[in-house]
Amino acid sequence: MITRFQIEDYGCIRKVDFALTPLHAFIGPNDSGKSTILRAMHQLVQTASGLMPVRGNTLAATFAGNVYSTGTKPGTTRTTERLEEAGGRSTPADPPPGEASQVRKHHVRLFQQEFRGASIVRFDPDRMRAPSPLLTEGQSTRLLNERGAGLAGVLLAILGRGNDDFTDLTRAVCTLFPMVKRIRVPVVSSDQVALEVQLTDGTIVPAAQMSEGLLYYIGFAALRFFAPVSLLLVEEPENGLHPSRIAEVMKVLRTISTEVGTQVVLATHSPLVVNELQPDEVSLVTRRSLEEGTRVTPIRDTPNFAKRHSVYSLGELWLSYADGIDESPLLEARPDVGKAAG
Amino acid sequence: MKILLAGEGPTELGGWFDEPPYRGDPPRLGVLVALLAHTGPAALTIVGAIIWKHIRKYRGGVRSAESRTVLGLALEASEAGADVLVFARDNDRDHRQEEIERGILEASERFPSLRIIGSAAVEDTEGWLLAIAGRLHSEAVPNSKAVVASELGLENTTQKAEFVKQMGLGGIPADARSLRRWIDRARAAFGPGGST
Repeated sequence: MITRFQIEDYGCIRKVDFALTPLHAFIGPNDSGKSTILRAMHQLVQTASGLMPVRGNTLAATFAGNVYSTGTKPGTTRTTERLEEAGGRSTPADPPPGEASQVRKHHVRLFQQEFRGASIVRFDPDRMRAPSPLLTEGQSTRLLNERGAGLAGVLLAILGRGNDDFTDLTRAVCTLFPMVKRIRVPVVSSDQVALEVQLTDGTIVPAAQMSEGLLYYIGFAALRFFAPVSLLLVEEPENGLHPSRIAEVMKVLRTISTEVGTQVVLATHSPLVVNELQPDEVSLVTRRSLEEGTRVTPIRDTPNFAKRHSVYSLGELWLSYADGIDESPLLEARPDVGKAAG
Repeated sequence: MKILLAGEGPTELGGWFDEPPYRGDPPRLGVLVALLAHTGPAALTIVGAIIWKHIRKYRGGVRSAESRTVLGLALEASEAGADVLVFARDNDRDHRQEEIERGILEASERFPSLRIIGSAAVEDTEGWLLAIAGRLHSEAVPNSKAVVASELGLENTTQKAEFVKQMGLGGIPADARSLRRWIDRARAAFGPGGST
């Protein structure tokens, strides 16, 4: 699990350094840099996993006392050929001469053991509805892209495992959508599979006619049965969901972080998502000026947090003080100003 | 002494209900400030006002919505640098009295330096006006707004607030419990020197 992350000169980010938890959410105004942080994390883990080449940015992740960096950072060592082969650079702090090569080899192994790829999820119902290719033997059980394309194929692959995974998935969906009796993934051509649900009265509803909320929930509920990755990055999990379903999706994401062992990092605008998290699991992302760039502040470090949190749940606290511009009422202690009527 | 006001609408808050650009200077008198004129010291500074519904509530938890609102008001008052939180909330034949009392109790524990003058107005602020006029069983009068208009001739905020200001508080019947509780809290908060 990544415990700290540093980003320098990446998109709108000049320099940030923040702590992470197994399930973590970034909140903040539009255009503050939340999605950029997710992209940077995706890039670093994909690079470390050997799935993406090193680029010019400086990204660094701390895990289990080790630092993995794609660039040069103060206190870290420069690239070696072996590490470049592994897709990244090790940063054991100044290993003794002669031992450097062994230490770096050790770190390469650590990175490869630690990082098994990253996935971004920002579901698009139209992509999720489309029939998808059949997964071939040995192909990883993952979506074709972050928008949810290939969902039907992945569900068929889960069904094909012959264990309880598909039954568990169906049960979770039917519990929240009691009119749904089962999920179906019929093969509709020689190379394509479709997604349908059968209702309790026998009606078959193709994906094209499913509600967005049902599609989204099937997508989230299925995530835990995908081929595991080290890092799951989720953009606005609240989209398209009834408020009461948001808590259920957050349960799914927490299960992925605790039982599957995948670190889950979210960007959200929903106080209802934040309500499902603990103070250590939420960081505020703001950007006051182009020059200053993005800042990340743990919500626990905002002024008067303990008192405010004793009154408000976490999401309420955020919304009670947020202004959607730079969140200054949340970040700055209020000297002497009462909230005026209206 | 710095005061933060809270209430449901213009009857309680007067001009403090209005957005700052549309607020007079001084703001129009409301019932709460008129009551403070009888119970508080001459030198009061109102640092702000909050409309009841603007306190955020998204999740129930162990506290009721009313209790949570009182806590939210106390936090706002504390962060606004107020010494005293002053509010009234219509009971409206709901079970708000008990919940508001629980909220006051908890807020007093969490914000010990803040004095809280508040109560559910049973059944509403107009019921308090009837009590100030000396009417018995004011808390059981149905449709008190209409009665206040027809019997006391008070139809708008200014008339109601001026009525409170002109009347003393000496004729309030013993059965007007919610108003008496509010006044007792005001006198306790401001001390004997604050009462008129």
